[in-house]
Amino acid sequence: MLTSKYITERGGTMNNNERWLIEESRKGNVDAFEELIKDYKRSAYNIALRVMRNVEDAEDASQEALIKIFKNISSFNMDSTFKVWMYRIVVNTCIDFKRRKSINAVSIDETIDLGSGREIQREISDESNNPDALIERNYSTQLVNDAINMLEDDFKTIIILRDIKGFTYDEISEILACNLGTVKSRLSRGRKRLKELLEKEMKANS
Amino acid sequence: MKCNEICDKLSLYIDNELSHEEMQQVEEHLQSCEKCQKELEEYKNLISVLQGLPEEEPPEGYCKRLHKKLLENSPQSKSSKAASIFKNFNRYKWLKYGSIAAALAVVFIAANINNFGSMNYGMKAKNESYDMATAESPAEYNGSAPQAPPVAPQTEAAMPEEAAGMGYDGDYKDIRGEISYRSNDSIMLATTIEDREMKIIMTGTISAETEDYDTFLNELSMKISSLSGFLESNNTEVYQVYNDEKLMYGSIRIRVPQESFYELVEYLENNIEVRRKNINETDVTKDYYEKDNKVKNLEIQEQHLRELFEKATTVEEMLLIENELRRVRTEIDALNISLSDIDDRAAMSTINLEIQEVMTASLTLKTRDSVWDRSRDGFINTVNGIIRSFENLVVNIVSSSPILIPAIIICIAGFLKIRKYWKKKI
Repeated sequence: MLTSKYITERGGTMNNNERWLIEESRKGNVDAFEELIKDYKRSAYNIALRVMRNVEDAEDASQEALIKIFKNISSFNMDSTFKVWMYRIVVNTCIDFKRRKSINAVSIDETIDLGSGREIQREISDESNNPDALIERNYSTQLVNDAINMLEDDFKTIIILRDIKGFTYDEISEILACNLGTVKSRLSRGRKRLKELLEKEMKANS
Repeated sequence: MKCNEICDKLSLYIDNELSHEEMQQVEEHLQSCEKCQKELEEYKNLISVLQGLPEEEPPEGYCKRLHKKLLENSPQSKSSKAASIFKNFNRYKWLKYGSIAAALAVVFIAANINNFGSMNYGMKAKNESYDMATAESPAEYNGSAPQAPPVAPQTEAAMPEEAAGMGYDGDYKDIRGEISYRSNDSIMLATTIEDREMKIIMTGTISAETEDYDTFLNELSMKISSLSGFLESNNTEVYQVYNDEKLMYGSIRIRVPQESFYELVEYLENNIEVRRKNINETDVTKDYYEKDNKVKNLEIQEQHLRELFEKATTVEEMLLIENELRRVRTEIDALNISLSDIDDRAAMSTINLEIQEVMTASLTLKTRDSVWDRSRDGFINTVNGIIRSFENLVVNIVSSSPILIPAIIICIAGFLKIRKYWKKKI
């Protein structure tokens, strides 16, 4: 039941419509490109959101990635599926974007120092009491989101790709440009770490 | 197996990524260990929560902003950008840049006309000096003078023919593109012709008489080496013995740099009694550049073949390509040899000199043309030449001044404008 979701449409044969859209995009046809990424741009945005953790940066990073895809579409050589190729760019761009950003990033937990000993606490809207966000499961959505946010980038991306986006191990190894063994061990450790984080949070909450 | 090891494999177990053996081990363990069963349940639970995580919708206007950025980055938009720049060009700017462009074109054309003009002047001047120096039949010289002007149209006419020759292989789209571009732009065409060096092979055949063969030959070889030429062959024989004096006959082939060809001819005419003279200028520019282009084409072909060769997989293919490569190489080499031959012959002119030693015939000549007379004539000639060339220079400058002066002014103005613009930008 679980595995059934993971059997993706990676049959190797790209459908003709997609192929045509790629050809048109190569000629610089913006409309064709938009049609091509219609189903993916939301995914791209969500990956960026998970990595960046704020709406503005997520939009900037995901759009940067999509433009990069558009500009470089002529270098896509149909070896892999378009989906895999494009997620690779999205993941890399987001991580790169975050790295650039983190030079002058501030943590939300930090207090803002106004000098002369006065400090104020950041005000962050707290949505954890929003009833819609709670789903009756063992772990609440908010809790899981928080835990994912706390994960290291390597673990975070692999869990996003595998458990949220449902890529196969092979596809993940292509997207992250690493071998299958790395994917397996990193995913195992990532899930373990996520579970630990969740358990810790649950304990803290109760 | 211990629980720890099993725990590490649970993640892969869920994804069905374990080997058959490991799978059995895990299943066996799970049946007996409740703790690990719980762990597995927790994992499955976590994963199903992750799968069920709702996706956030992109903020409002996300697609619009993306569309705008895409348009900015589309290669198609670049042309439209260029078009809008053209539109923004106001009339004043058009006037300014247009006038600069026109001025440059005019200067260029004027320079060309002057070049041709001075060439004609030079030719005429030379003709006259020949007529003065030796009262030979003028018909022979007239042959060479009108030859010069047709040289230019000839090279121009060579262009389209060449274009056809260059485009003979449909594969070389880039070359064809270049040609169509050239033929579209007349200024470009003019520059390419200007860029071409004219290949003219000059040959002269002179028969002459002298009284003192040995002295003349010594002087001649000194003159030739001062002109940085050389004696290619020297065939001397005694043809008559008269009163215990040997009369010599020589057939000499002289090679001198093209620039000093006429100087040497003049020198010969002044020092020996010329009986027959034939000067030939052959324009091989067209032939030369046709060959040159063929070489370029073949080199492209060779490169293609080399690329093909790298892609070749079977021995048969390799052999075929290698054969073809060898053929192309041979052709290139043959053409290159004939090109360098033309280069050599154009750079160094040839004079075939037949010279005969005589006893009496020139005695009268010697009395008539004393050293004083000859040097006086030479002096007058030189002064005349200086005056004439100075006149030509003045005429050239004055005649082109209506174009030259405004052009220079516009150029300077444009230059200052541009410099000001750059300074502002910085």
